[in-house]
Amino acid sequence: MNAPMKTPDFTAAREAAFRDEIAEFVADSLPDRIRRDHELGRSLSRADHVCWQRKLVARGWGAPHWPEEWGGAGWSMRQLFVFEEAMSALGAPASPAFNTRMIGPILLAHGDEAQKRRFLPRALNFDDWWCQGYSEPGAGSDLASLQTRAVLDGDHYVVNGSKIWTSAGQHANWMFCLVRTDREARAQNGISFLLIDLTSPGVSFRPIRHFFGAHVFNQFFFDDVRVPVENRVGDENAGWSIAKALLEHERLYSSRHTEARRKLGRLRRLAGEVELDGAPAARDPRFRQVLARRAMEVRSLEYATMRALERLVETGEIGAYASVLKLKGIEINQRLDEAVFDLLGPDALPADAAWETPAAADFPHPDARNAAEARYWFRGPAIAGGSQEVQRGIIAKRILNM
Amino acid sequence: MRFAPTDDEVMVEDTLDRLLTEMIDAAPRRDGEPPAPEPGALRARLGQLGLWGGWLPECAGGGGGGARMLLILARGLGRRPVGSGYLGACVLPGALLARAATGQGAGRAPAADLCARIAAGEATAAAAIFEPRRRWATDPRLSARPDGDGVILTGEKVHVAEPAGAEAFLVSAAEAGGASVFLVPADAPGLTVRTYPAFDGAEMASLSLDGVRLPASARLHGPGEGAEALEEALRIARFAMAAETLGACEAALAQTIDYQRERKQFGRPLASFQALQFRAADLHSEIELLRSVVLGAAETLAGPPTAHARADIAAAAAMAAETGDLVAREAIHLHGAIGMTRELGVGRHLMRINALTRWLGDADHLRETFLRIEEEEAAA
Repeated sequence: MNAPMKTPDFTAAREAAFRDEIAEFVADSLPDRIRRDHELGRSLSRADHVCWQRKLVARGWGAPHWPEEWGGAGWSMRQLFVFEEAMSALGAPASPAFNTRMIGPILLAHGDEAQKRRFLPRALNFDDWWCQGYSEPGAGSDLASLQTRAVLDGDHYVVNGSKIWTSAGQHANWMFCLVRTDREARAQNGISFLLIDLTSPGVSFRPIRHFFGAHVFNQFFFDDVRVPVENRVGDENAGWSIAKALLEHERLYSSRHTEARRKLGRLRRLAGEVELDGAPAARDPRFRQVLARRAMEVRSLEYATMRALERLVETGEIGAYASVLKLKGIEINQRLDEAVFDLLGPDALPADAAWETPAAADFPHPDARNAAEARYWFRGPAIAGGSQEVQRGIIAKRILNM
Repeated sequence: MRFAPTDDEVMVEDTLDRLLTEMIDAAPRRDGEPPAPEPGALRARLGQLGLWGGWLPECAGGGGGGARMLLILARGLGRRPVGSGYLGACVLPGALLARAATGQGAGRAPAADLCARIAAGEATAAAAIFEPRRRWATDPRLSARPDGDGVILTGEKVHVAEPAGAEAFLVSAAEAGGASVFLVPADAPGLTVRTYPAFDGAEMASLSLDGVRLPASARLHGPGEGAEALEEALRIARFAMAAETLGACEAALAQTIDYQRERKQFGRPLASFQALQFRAADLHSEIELLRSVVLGAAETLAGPPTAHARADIAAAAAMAAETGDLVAREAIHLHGAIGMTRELGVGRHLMRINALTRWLGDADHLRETFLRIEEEEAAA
């Protein structure tokens, strides 16, 4: 994954031309409805994601951060950053992380040649839809206590147990999964990394609805599921380090700065539409203080992410700084969601589904849709991937030496 | 754009830090007071080393180091709140003088002379740009009426920083064509200086100008560009305020965590309590955001004053005002009772940060400034 760093300097002139190229591509290729739904933070359907991803792949931009031989673009870190930022600013959705930002980089770093050839092209093109099987009913923040067992039987593992909080698992046909292969070893040492075909006999799942009603999560059950040994990534019992060492440059995205920039755009548009005491909110002194806070936070988050990028290019790692990016990125995103919700006041009342009813003709602001649901959805990222409290613990121990 | 310091910049940071340690260690001990070097001696020493005026342009007698040098000095001095007077005696007047020294106005030569001596740490001047009961408004009402080739100034100025030893005041005034800035010698007939102590221990002053007569060469900035000169000087001073506050935050948190590793309660170090670790982690994260926006602003300040650049500086100052107050308050609380004492001195950070925002603009004011610049950018 060092390839992107070897390219020549990404000059200001090239950056401007590159941004134009992106804008032209998005204008030509991104269906208006997808852009609109994405701007409102509505979750896209599987078909929408696949449609957009295949257009990106056709342009050579399906996973630009991958090595060129596997369909990457061979760009510098800086150019990758500009790409993400520009795409987001133009309202283009990012492809779901599990394929291109998780299993892809994991296989590139730890997979064998056969695994790469078998899985990478299909992951890039979304012929397969991957989901992540880490958390279990009894293993959340304390992930290393996971209990799903894989017992070797000839050239197969026999897997028994359950995985939970599987986002978008209902769309998936493959799961990358942490399983316990040695019950005697210390918690982290007895875990292996398995790729499980979800169409295998013995796999079942039930939907878990989010508190706002949407089908967001799932629980998967494994009942004597036979998984070929060749689907193990890395050595037996080496799974923990594989899952943990998600490549450093993927960790830049923990700041979620592009999402924050998108939400700020929505808040600004609404500020021109919503009236407070008979004048646009954009002129209300109290709201202006809120807007200024949110805008400055987004600016600081972008600079914080650029600092991480610089550090990554120069030293190859960002260490526990990623925890700062995640902690603040999530807080800043949550505050933006809240600002949109607060500004809308009563106009935030209609449920997302209400916009499909005849009553929607009376709803005043097109940007009001999904304000509550988007806010509720974003409670999740503060819990997932190491809760905010886990991040604080990492910062206190690894940065502040407390 | 570059965020991390270069090797040369690290050397300057280390030199400054060593010098401050040396001078603080050598300062006379006074009962119940944290030691601090005599401000004049500190200024002279930093001037000799080319650090004090290192940020000023070379043609105005400075080192040509620009925004990044200003960042290093203000931040480094912020870590040691010893009342250096850097912002009041060097940054704000330096910005007004350097602009005049590189312009075409009648005051070019005296401005260049004074600026060079300020850069060298040999002289100070003080900017008088605020007026009574008008908060941070910079459009002057103090009047300048024509008097032959020269002018006569009449009116009041308040909250003038670093008046002690200032050989001149840089006074903003309203002329027929707009705002101007004049160089008023400290001993000018008709000028009354009344000093007062601010709560952070710094000396401030109010000025009364009762028919002060000045020659044409006293006009540093004419009515055509006085408003822009004042804006620019305030922008640079607010950037320095953000940098000084960043330094103060870094020092306050480091001092607090050092103390928490030593201090034991309930049989174990305070640093081992999760409730305290989480608070420290939150403060560290807030400081990282502030550091990011200050470093970003340093880069944009080095370029042309586009709306984006000006908004960066307003954002850095506004976030410094808020984060600085938070970190400094928390540093006191997380020390426990010892944090309340004058002798320990952690409270100096809070007083200094608060004095800066009273002087140059508080968080609300700076947020509004930021938003107006952003709107101007969006409209363009």
